Amino acid sequence: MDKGQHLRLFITEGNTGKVVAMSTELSLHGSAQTENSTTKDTTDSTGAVWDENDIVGRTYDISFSALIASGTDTGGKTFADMLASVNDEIINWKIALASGEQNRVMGTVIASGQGKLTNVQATGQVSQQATYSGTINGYGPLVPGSAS
Amino acid sequence: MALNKLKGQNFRAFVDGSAVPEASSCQVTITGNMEDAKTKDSEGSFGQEQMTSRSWSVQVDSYEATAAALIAVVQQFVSDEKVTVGWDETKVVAGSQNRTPNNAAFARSGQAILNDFTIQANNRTNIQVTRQYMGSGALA
Repeated sequence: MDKGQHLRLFITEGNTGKVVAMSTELSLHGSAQTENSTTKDTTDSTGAVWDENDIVGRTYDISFSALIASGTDTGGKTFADMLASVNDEIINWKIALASGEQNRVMGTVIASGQGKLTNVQATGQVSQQATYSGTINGYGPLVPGSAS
Repeated sequence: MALNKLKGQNFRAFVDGSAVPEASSCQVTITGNMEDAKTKDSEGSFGQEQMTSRSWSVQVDSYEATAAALIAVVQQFVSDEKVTVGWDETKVVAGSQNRTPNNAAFARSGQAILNDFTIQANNRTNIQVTRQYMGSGALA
């Protein structure tokens, strides 16, 4: 069983991916919009009526949290990098198993897609680490990875 | 014949005939959708609700967290194929990982769609997967 720290969010550009640095939490959430497609034909063998539902749309989002650090990080995406990404531009992302140095070597991809970073919220509280969280709204298809 | 109390670990959700692996909890909901059919003929102030249809859903939480299992969740979400979802009591069979269905009187299954899922991966915790299946059609 893989642990939470080994599943990481990578922001990808071309063939390279930069992990969200110093991240602590990650969540991928998918939701399907359904429509009740029951008709007058719809009964079971006893005459009982059960709702029939079909998917008419899908959305997904990614939520993550990370510590805020000063300085630069050439191998990862920092708070400053993510702040600059809050705009209407599409970013490419992958959620993948990670290992190796700083737990940043991308392994098996669980899912990938495109999205827009729509929300970043930072918190600085006395006696605590400064943290930020972000939300990426999926844009277009959610693509499952392929098990190796 | 006396009833025996059933432990939570022996009440399991099944998808396509197999118990959801590494599951920690499941929740089954059957809802009668009601409509107030009170008319002017009705005496008194209380409603007179009538059941117009029934719907059902199954939510299951698990630590199923290998790469293949996580990918399978995403694949199931993007697929338009319905899956068979149900619940049953499991019986003790050595080496079965508590996954052998017992065909209990309360066991039911039907076609369903994966309409909501969350993969939660936090630092220093096990990866958790929550899936919600919405029934489509009758339970049998």
